[in-house]
Amino acid sequence: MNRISKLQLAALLLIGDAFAIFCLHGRICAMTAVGFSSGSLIQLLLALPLARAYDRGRTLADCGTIVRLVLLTYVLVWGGALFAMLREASEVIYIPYERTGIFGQLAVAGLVALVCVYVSSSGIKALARSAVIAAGLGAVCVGIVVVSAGFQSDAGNLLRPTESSLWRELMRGFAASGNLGSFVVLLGFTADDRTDTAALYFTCKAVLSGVVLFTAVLVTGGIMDVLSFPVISAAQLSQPFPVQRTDSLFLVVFSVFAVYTAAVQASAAEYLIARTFPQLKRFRCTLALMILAAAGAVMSAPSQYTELYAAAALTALLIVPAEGLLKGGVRKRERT
Amino acid sequence: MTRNERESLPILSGLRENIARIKQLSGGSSDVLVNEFTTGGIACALICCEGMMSSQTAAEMILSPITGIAPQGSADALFRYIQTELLLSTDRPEARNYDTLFRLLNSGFAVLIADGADRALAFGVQGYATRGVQEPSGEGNIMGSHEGFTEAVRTNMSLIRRRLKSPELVMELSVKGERSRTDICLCYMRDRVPKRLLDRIRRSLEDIRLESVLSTGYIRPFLEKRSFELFSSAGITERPDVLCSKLIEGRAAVLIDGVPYAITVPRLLCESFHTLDDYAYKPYYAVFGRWLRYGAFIIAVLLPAVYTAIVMHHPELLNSTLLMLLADAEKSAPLPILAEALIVLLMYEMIREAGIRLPKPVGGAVSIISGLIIGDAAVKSGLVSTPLLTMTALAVLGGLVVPDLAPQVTVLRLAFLIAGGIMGVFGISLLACAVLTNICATEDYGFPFTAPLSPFTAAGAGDTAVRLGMRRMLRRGFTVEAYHEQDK
Repeated sequence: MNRISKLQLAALLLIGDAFAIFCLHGRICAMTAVGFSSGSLIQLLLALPLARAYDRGRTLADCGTIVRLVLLTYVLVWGGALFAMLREASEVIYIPYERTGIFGQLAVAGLVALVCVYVSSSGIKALARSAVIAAGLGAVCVGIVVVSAGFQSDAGNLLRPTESSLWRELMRGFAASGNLGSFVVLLGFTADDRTDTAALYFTCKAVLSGVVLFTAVLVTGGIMDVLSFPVISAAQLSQPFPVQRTDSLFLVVFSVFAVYTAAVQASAAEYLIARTFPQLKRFRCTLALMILAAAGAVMSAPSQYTELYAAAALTALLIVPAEGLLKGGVRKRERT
Repeated sequence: MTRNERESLPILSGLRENIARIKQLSGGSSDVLVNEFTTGGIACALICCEGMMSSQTAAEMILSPITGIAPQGSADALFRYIQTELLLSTDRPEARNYDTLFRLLNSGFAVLIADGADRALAFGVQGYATRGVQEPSGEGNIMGSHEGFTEAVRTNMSLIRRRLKSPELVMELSVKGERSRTDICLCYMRDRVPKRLLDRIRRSLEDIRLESVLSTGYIRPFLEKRSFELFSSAGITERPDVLCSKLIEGRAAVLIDGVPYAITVPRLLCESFHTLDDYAYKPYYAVFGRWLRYGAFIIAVLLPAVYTAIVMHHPELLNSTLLMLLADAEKSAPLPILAEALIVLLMYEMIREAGIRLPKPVGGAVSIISGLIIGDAAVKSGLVSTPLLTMTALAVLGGLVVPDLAPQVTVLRLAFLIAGGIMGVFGISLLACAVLTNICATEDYGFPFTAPLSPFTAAGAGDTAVRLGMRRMLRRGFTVEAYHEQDK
């Protein structure tokens, strides 16, 4: 069986989380960073029963069809949301031909989907290995942007009064954690201890969310009202050299992360399709990507349905251990 | 007649019939020489292939002792006497069918047949013309040995044995190629090579069904996975010292008769950036050299693409001075910059190809004519802008730093150029994702091509991004098995 390491799993999923944070729509403040980071730690606590269940030998193949269907729906919907986010973020990021009308948009989405098909069809091992390299390069680029942001930052931005609350930001954090569906699927592929794997992933996620969002608030806090994508705008405003722009670094990271995020969703969907609908096994990769792209074309970014996405993320995280508990209870009752 | 048919034909015991059969099977070929004589009271014939054996060695070591044998009762007694009493050569195989007989004959053995014997004795007196051991044409180095592999497989085996005098070094000879009957030698260090790797390589070699083996390219595909891989996961070297270092690290190698290169398995991406000189210099300089090669590779593949992408799609990334400079240079060029870059790169590839294929004196002239005259004329006439030519030259120069990856660099450079020209940095990023995934998917015999970077292996990192001091490297006791993914 194809096994991946905990570092590879963390890299695969953190790329998706970073992409979701880059595409975060609407106002952000210091409380957003706190909400996202603490939300990640709560997710870690909620993921522990799942990790322990996997460590005890339970797999997704042992789960009922309903569980797999719920996860598949969530993975596909989140994949579609990612395509929608890519489409909406291209308002502020220059992608050639994206603004030349519907054909340009279709061409760009088609190109991304084509690369995703290739990336995800290469297998989970190849995807995981390349994700580590991509995440490493991304970390360097994000590091440069964060350091550059230091020159543009204003500490006063952290203290600006906002209408936000910790609860609302926690919800936003959960809503942006669409990778939890893939986490549930891919955790079963890890060769290492699943509890350690979950701890590594969610801790890194908390740190990543905190650093990126705090930096974005420090840079764009003063002009937040006029920004649609504060994190992308923060990256664009953070230039390390006075006469030289480095936006291309961010564009590279953005494009690479977009591909890997979609490919991870496609891989998770492929696995679930193969397990749930064995007759579609042969076309699972193309089918998954086609559904994702189609969903992306008709959907809008998840920022408008925060509560719905947050509830879905929570369900994805808890559904496997909950089903296990339910089955265990039924068996116990049958025995007595 | 096929090989199987020859294999099923036992050697005839009558001398006349035997000679007639040999002549029939060889089609009366002029280079098959049959020398009939009588020794020990038995009519015999010494058969050899002209030009494949050393006449002097044959005369001194075989003909002289063999013709003075006292009378023996039968052909079997004569052969027994030759085998037990005379040491005519160190390599003395026996043939019982015509396939073996012809294989030995065509490999430079002198074959003795006798009236009444249903077998043939062969004596290794090879002495065919072959190129001597010379400095390798590629893989140049400053501080190491200047010996390279040659075309004779046995010479190459001796070059390895001279450097590794350990009894753990094993060389297994076999024959491949239905028609060519080429000697193939599998080399490995018995105590270092992973057993599973060796078994799987043996199986891969057994699966080879070829008519002839004329270069490494005939064998390599059988040692690699069938899926589409941009980079080859079987390495090539023409240096015995490099091969020995790989064998010590637990790799296996395949030598092919007639080819002055050895195939090594498994191969990793990072190996393309290593040179033997890295171990001759101080570590700090070796590290500098390695990073220079990594950088050169990136420049070779991406520089023309990034330049084109920036000029065509992202001019805001240039500072104002550079922008003015480029705008000034490009305004007189009649073609779009993507077409301009493609033309320059393709022109370079044509010049390179012409330089390789033509006779050496003419090849040099071609390079001068095309480089100086065409290049200069193209810039002066305004067909090509100077900055673009500079970028292309830099990229080409970068590619020459890593000659091992020349085919990949050439194709990827063009692919990235087209992606960058059409879709800008976004296109380059998308193609980079696909290429990265392809590289990471390259894996043969359980050894990921991208190790030790991904999956990260601490044991191998000391000789990849950096180069540790020799004492620390030796203390690691590293073998390639550390990279095997299923072992982790």
